[in-house]
Amino acid sequence: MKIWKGGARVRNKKSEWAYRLMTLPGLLLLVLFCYVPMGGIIMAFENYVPSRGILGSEWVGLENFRYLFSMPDVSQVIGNTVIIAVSKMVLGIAVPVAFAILLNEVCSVGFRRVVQTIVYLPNFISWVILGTIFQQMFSANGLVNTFVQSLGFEAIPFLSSGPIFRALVILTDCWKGFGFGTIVYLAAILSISPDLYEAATIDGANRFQRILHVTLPGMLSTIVLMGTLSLGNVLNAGFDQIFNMYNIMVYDYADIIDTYVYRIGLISMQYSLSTAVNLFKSVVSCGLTATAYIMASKFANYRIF
Amino acid sequence: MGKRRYSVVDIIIYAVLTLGTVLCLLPVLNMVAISLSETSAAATGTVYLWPKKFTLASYQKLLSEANFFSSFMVSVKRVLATLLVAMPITITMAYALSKEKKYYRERNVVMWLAVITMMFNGGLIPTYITIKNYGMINNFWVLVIPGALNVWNMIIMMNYFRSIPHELEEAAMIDGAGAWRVLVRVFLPISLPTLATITLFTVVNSWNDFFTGLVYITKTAQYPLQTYIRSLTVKIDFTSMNPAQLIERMKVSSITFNAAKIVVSMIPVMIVYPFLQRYFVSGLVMGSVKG
Amino acid sequence: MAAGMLTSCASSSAPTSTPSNTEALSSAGTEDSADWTTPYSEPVTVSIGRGGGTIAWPEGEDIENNAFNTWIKDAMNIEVKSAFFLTDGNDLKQQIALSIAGGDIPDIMIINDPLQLQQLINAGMITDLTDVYEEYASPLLCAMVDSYGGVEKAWSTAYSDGRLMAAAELNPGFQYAMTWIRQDWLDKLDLEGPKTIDDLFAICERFVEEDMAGNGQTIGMEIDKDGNLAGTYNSVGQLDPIFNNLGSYCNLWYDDGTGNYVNGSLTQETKTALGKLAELYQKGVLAKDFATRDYQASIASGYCGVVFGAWWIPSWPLNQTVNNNPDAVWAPYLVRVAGDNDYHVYNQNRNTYWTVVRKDYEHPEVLIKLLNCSVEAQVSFDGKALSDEETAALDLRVPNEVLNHYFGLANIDWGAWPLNVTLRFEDQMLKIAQQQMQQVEDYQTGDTDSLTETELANISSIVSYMDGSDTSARAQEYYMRYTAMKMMLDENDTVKIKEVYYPVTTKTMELKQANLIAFRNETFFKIIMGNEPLDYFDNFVEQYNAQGGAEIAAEVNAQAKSE
Repeated sequence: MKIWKGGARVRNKKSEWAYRLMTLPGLLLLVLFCYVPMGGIIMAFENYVPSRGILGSEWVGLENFRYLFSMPDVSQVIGNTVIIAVSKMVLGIAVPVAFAILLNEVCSVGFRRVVQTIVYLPNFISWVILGTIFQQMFSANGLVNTFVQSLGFEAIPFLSSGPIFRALVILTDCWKGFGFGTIVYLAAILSISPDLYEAATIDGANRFQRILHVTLPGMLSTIVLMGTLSLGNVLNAGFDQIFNMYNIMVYDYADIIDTYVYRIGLISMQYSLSTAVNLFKSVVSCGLTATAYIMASKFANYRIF
Repeated sequence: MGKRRYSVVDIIIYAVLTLGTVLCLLPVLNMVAISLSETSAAATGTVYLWPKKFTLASYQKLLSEANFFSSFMVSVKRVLATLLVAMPITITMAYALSKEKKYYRERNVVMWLAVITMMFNGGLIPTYITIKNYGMINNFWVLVIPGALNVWNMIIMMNYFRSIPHELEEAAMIDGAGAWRVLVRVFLPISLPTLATITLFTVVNSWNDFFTGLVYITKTAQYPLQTYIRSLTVKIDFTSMNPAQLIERMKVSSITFNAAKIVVSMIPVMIVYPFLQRYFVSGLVMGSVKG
Repeated sequence: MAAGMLTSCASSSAPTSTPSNTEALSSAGTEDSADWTTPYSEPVTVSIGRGGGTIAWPEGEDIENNAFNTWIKDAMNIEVKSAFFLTDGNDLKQQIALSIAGGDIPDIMIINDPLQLQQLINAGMITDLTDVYEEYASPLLCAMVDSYGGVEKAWSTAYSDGRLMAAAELNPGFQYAMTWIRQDWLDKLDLEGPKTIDDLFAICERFVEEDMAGNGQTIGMEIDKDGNLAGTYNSVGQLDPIFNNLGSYCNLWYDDGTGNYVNGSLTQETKTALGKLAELYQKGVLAKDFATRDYQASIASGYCGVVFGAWWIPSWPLNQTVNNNPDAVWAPYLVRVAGDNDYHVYNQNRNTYWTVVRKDYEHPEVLIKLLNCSVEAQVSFDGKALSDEETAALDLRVPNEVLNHYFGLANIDWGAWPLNVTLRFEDQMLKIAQQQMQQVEDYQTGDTDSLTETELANISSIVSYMDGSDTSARAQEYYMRYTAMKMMLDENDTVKIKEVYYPVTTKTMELKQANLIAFRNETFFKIIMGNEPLDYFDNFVEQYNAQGGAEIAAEVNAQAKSE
């Protein structure tokens, strides 16, 4: 429903300038603190030596990338990264969404607040500590296996079997982060107009149908947005977590790009190589995000952001 | 909602939520327990939910560190300054970018400029050199300004603003309101849950970030709390012949000390979050535009 | 130290060590040395970037304002400023890298990464210190450096093209790994302590069979999974006593007798040692999950019977066992191979930290002067607070009140001096051990006058434990350290030190070393666990060499021979 009175056009010009003014400080910050340093990306194409500086180091073109891709195991490592990151992404959306929906269905405000606060707390425990805790908990004689064995089963080799370790990584990461996602999705749910719920109830929808036809659609834009933004992380897969939890026995399943590069000692003092790795990751994330955006735009006529 | 009978589904929901909560609560209790345990007992890895050989030594050490309170104040200043600087910038930018292209021509360009900074990064060295050239090393504002615009928060806010029905805005504009007034009088009051969300994230991020202080501030007295706490290490020379030193240094091990550090970092959240939760209330006020 | 050693300092003639033989030093000519404490006519400022652990300054003091810096300013007119002070090793590396990249490094830096040192040298960012050392090093510092065989040997890792580019640490020897066993378990089973490695293995098997720790968790030997199995001097939880006595110097480089330097991880002796470890694994002496477990937690819980480590490990981690199990007693042993009277060890890694001066700093001698202070501080802290006579004999220039200013306070020691690198005489630990033997004897004969309060506390605990009147954990800790030192002294004649070579990181090492070590550890773990047969070792050696091991060997050999 457009309202185009004569005066509106003038107001639009004024509004447009207001919008420009509103984005100006933010843009200034972005330019000063993100785009200016971004020039440093050329380090990826140089043989950077700190004492020579960024402009003084020798240009080597794609040599760094060629070197990285010729490392042994590189395709396995990339494969691990993608598998782990995609799994984390999927769980990282499904679980908080479900949890937020359930939380919303609860009447007791007190209960909800307590739950909201507590599930956010694991987010604050660094992987350095959690790594040790999980290594102990899931070790051959740890808590979990003691429990499993008391039920009569064999001990599960969480820390020494590659595939199982990978699952462990994905699940523990989900556990640590779902409180964070819950906040965002809960806020989204609360933004849905109560009128819509009323209307649905009047039409005879039960709780499940209300969730399906009111809550979920109301959250859809947020879900799509969060999903797309996490696409930007698809090659990250969690260095801190894996570095602090893994061990030699599971390298072939759990080595991701960042831990592999770190282990090879490529990070220390080899700034060009680490910049090249990051550039590679950035290009892939950007490509994926742009693809998602374009597809949504073309096929669903929807702008993700 | 008045009293009602709880159905089976309700019970299941409560059960699932309780399970999730308990799973998250356990490691927090574990942290607290370890931080209150004696070092050797904690070293065995068998401290679960209750301290073994209770001792406050880790906290005493933490709080007795010379710069603890000064760095605490630096962090408080940092959070307040960040809120004052970051929130207006983020909110106004989110609002402007929530407008469609026909109302704001450069919208898509600016949007992509912002998104790209989330994916591409110059890296630590170029960023350090840049900030050094701006003269911000050892300057309090380096803790506030470079990170003031969190693009992620901004996009979340923008996404929410976009979902607000156009009718609301048009109605206000017909009544003579300009863009600013619409933002403040119309949009903000109905954005409370999302506003509370990004406020929470802003507070948490600026309180817990240790890295900025570590790299850009070299005077310990000017460290924010998390950077300061991180710098407190327990380094023991076991070849020392001095019993007083050996005894003293064994009171607190890195295991118990690190646990205490984490508990301390969770406290602000546990204070701020419940306070913000009252804004997690439902519903747009649709009263102004009906039918 | 041999007499007739080349002295590289202007002054000292007869190098000796402290704390006992101070008489010889007093005859060292001091007239020749530039009096390094002469104050500058104009104030000189120096900014220092360093690391170290947290220092518990007294009220009102910090890293720039403290008793030591005040004296440095008053006596030498040098103002010490702190450019950065980072307590984590990786943070320190990062800050140094940023300083280099940002184009302004502090006047003096303490470096903990040999690669960074190479970078600085190659970039020409640091000053040549050869002459400055000659001129300004105090007799004490010279004597200390000479105890390692002269400055070129002591600081070999800091030389480039024959010039001294950095002053490094000096880590003393006499801290090799011993075998620590649960004496209470031995007593319960009525067993004698082990003399040979086979004895040790048999004892471990018995421990496991009899499940000494209860609840089925008993392990014979505990291993630090992150420790590369062997090759780090003065460590805990590595298997050097087994490897070395079987002739293997795993993870180290040494001359195989023909002038060719080999990598100890690739030798047949290492293969033999691995075979024995594999047998132990099958018998349950090694934990089934040793590759993933937290060995410290296991020690603290009292699950294992044997741990390998240096003389000080009763202070940590062994005290954790005793704190949690008051009946536990750990005792040291030196275990050899049957038929071989010698106990085989290797020499220490002398330098792991370096101090450098940036090029164009007008007063590079400030580094040496500050090092002189650090040396005096360490000598004073290590032994005991020195008396005035001893101070004079050592020609210490820093007054006693300053040196002893923080003595006895917890969490603050010589590291509070501007430069906190370890500087000790090569035989310092040996001398300290001898001193402690003497002190215990004196105490037992009632002669306690020469002991300070802290020493009294230490020695009386030891003696009380010996006569059974004090069986607390603390007394046991001091007693066992004493016992270990005594054992090392008594059997010193049978200790054969293999001279190993610690190479400066080479080009190929930079890129491939970390991967090779990971490959090596993975393979060794697999062999020990039985996932691969022992003969796979030969295949491993081939692969290792192909993946870069051979290149590195060539580079190391070139490096070693050019010295």
